[in-house]
Amino acid sequence: MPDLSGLDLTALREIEHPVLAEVMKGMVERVTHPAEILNAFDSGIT
Amino acid sequence: MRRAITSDVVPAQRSTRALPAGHAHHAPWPYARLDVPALRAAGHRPHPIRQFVLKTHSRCNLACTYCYVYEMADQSWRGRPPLMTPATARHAAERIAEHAAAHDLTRVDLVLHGGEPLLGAPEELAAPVEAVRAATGPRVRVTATVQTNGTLLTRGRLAALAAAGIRVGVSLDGGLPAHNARRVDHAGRPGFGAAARGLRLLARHPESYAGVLCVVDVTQDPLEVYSSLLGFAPPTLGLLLPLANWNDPPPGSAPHTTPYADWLLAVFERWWHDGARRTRIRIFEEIIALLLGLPEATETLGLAPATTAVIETDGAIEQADSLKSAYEGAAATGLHVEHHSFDELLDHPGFAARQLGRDALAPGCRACELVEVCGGGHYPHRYRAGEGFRRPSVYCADLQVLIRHIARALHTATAGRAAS
Repeated sequence: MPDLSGLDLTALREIEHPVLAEVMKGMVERVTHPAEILNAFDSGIT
Repeated sequence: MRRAITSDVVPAQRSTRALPAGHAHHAPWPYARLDVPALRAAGHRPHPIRQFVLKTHSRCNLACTYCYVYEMADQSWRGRPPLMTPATARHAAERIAEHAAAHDLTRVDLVLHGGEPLLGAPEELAAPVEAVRAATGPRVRVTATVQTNGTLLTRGRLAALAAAGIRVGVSLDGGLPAHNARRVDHAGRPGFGAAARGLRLLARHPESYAGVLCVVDVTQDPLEVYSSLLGFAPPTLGLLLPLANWNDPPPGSAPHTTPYADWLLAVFERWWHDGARRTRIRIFEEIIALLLGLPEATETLGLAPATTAVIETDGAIEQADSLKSAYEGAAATGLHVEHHSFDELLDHPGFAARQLGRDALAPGCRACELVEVCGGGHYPHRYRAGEGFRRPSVYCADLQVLIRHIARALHTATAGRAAS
């Protein structure tokens, strides 16, 4: 497995990879409010 | 030294409540081996339930050949009322409010599910949501989504659902008729045409559109499935591994092959290298989040505790109903909203086992370098009759290939560009 530790999550939002940058923008809440993230039921989409 | 509460040699569970018959026979782990009182005595605190699946309608206008509700081991739907009554919905709302207050929750999520929930009138769907909002009061945010096969979506229904603050997710297995050959009605007629009409309508209402769930069929061309689904502009796409276990292996699986990883990676490569993110693909984004050490948002990956309860049309409190793919009664708890609180579910051995993270896993899984990402895989996929749910996922080889590939892709994309 490659070493992915030490990545700057904020910098990933600006990375020149359009898909990864969008993914990271959508994960702001996971960084700021990790306790609010719901481990959601897989047979529904919320 | 930590007290043994989850090993293979712990004493039989000592819950005072009688469990539904058969659990310990089918699944010694956790039902004969997890000692919940010892777990609590050792300091393991339960995590509150935050998502409630309301089975508002237990019948369906389709008869998909792979459906876990109707076509797999559990046939409990036959004995349930078709509709959740207003009295049951009121009891459920009061129990949810009780739980939210007891655990100081500021948000709960509702999923209206079936069967096919749109077989009921929109006001029948809105009623339990409104009951929960009324019971919890203004300090609890209540979100609601309905999961439907899409065939009964109309402008009027969509407007009524939007007015009630209910978003819509649709289940579809691809954007072409051939992808949906298994999604047929009770006379064997295809459901795709009506579902496609419903989805086109929904795509014009992005504020109501939660996304599309698609069960992977490895006999279909992955890129054709993906690109055709993009035609319905889903904001999120859930690509689900078929419900399978060690007694009932995944369709198309064979030793030393990884057909599900191969299928998903074909989609991943197209999605990852596109010029823009065309849709959120849940399984890929969850793996990325977990690789980066962020909390997961799905029950199928990672080590986070289960926090979802199901309320059947008759008021029975159950575990996630995907467990119904394992054995008859696998989701049953013996609890009912009229008589039991959701705190009692937290101490049910089947539910408590799903809040143990790494401690609930097979020894090989606990030692695996991917465990933080895979989390042992989706719980029903671990089942083997007579052993239970302490096995690696039946998709273990596929998950390993998938996770390692995405890790390499992430490493390549970030190499030298985003180190802190």
